[in-house]
Amino acid sequence: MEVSIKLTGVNKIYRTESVETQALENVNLEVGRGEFLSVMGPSGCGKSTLLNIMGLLDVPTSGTIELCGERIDSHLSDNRLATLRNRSLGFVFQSFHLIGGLSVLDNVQIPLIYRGVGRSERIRRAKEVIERVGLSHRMKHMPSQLSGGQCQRVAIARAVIGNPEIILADEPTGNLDSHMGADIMDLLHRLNEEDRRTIVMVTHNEQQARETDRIVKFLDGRQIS
Amino acid sequence: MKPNYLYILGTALAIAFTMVIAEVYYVQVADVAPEVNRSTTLYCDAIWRMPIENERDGVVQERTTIPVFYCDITDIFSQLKSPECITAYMNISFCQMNIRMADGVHDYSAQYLCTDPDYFKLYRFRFLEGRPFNKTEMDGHERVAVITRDLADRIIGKDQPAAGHIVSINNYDWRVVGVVETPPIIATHCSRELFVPYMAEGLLTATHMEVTDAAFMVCLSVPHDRRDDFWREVAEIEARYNMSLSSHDFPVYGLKPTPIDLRPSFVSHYGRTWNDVGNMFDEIIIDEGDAAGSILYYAIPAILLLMLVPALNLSGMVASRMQRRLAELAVRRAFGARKVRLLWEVLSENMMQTLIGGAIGLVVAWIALYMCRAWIFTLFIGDLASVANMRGSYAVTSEMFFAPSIFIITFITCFILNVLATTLPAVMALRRPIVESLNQKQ
Ligand SMILES: Nc1ncnc2c1ncn2[C@@H]1O[C@H](COP(=O)(O)OP(=O)(O)OP(=O)(O)O)[C@@H](O)[C@H]1O
Ligand SMILES: [Mg+2]
Repeated sequence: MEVSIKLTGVNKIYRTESVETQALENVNLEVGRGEFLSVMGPSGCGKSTLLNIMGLLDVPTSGTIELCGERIDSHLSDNRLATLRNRSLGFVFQSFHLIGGLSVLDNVQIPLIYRGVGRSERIRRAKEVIERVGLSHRMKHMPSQLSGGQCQRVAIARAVIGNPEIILADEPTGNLDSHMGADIMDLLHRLNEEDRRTIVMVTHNEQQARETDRIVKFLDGRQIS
Repeated sequence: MKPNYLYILGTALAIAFTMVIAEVYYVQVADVAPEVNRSTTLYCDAIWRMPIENERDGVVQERTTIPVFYCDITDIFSQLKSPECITAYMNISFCQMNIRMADGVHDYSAQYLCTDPDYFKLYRFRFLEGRPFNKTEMDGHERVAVITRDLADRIIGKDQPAAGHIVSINNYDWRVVGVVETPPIIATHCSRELFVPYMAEGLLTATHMEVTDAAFMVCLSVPHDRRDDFWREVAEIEARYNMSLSSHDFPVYGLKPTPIDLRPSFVSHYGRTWNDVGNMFDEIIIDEGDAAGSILYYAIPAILLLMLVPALNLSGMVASRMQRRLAELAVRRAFGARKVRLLWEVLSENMMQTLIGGAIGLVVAWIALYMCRAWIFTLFIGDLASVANMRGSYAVTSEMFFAPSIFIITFITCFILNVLATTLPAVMALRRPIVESLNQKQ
């Protein structure tokens, strides 16, 4: 099996003045290429921390990460990290994190801007993915004019526009009602099946988790299954 | 990214504010016609005298200044060779100069200046008609006058030719030899309406005064490359004068003549302008440098101090807005933006906004100056009493309103403040892991 993500002995410790929180403890995890993995566990067990480390948004206290066969070292340059985030990863946040001052069309284009894709090509591809998430009629809208489900679809469009190998979704349906949640799940499944994207999704929803290829469970920073 | 109107407005106001204050000073120190030689001019209206001591009583007379009298002009100042130009005008008006108006009935009391022909070499009036009075007329005690166009309009008639006219002043006939464009009110050595030779016969008759009783303001133009020669000459003259003191022993102004201390008796144009500010800082006034430079030196620290409160408010607002911006930067990083590129975006955005703000501020400043010119032009003239004796125009000319270095300094200051409020937090945020800025309270 080809491996997309490989964590070896990953620890993450948050130190504040008074307390020390071990958010992740000796995590060893492999995610195969094209696999759809669910991460579950009670609140505060370290799921987001795990995803952020996989997405190169945070650095582990110790341990190693490999993404698409590339070992992420502490002396990897910022530019290389930026390139990896840009080409290999697509992040979907629970709270969307769309840029308020930009329209749907502009938000979706962001990864391509930092890849140096020309404007007309960007717009063409943005329109394509926006159509795929079913928002063609909302292209010129601002995020504040969209519903939560629509926002999340924009966020997914933004995550996939650059054709990344890996999609990381942190409770993508957490802020949505069950109907919209089902919509988003459909979308993720399609991306997984049609485009063979590796997907790691954090969820609290048993039902959604059961539909994925594999479930890993966490408790207090440790993987328990 | 939407432009930050708040910041642009704040920058505009800060720049407008600084420019107004800077311009208020600038019009007083820059070379503005007719005072085109301000940067090289030295003034002396009083001569320092050393204290006198005697063996029995110790110091009997403190170090003091005594006004410049006619004898000083002939004995001391006439010996100077290095100045490009030396002129003197009477510093005190003994009497009114009442000019008979065209109706032949009413008199108009003109603000006047009694001087010598070289005055018109140092101060470059624009002659609309005729010429300055000359040395022959001066030495011949002729009653000749140069008048401003405003005065000509008043006593001869609107836009009527005036050169060659005979006008009656204090019941003497005077011949108008030249008409000049009314000088701006900010040219304090020029803003009068009637200029006459102080030697003119009958000038002081009614006052029972002699020219030797009058106090003078001596104005010398000494280019900076001749300053060394000048000070050497001054020292020689001083030494010679003090050597000869023992030989004559007459009272001057009720005081025994004492050794002179000539060098500190001269003060530059900047020195006169910045005297008050200089005293505030308890510093010796710089005599060299240019107009804008002297403003930067004396006024800008005070202005920056004044600007601090609004600037802090502003950067507080800018910084709170920056919080949102930081989250946005984190999102962009999550999708592959490089740090350098984001920093450049923030910086160039600041630069754009500061530029727009600066341009608006400059326009606002000039509008404000134009509308408030009567007030602003006389605002910081040290001697308020003399403002009453001044007659000049309030016209605004382009040479008055150009102080690029001050604009640039203010601009840079605003830019730095903005960078401190925005780019610095951005740099700090970019050094931390992305999640930290991402999840900051929005
Ligand atoms: N910046 C931080 N500083 C200190 N402690 C932190 C920080 N971020 C997370 N933690 C702690 O690390 C642990 C794991 O947090 P994490 O956000 O990964 O949990 P989670 O499983 O995603 O929870 P939830 O389901 O509520 O999102 C928690 O105990 C949390 O308090
Ligand atoms: Mg979480």
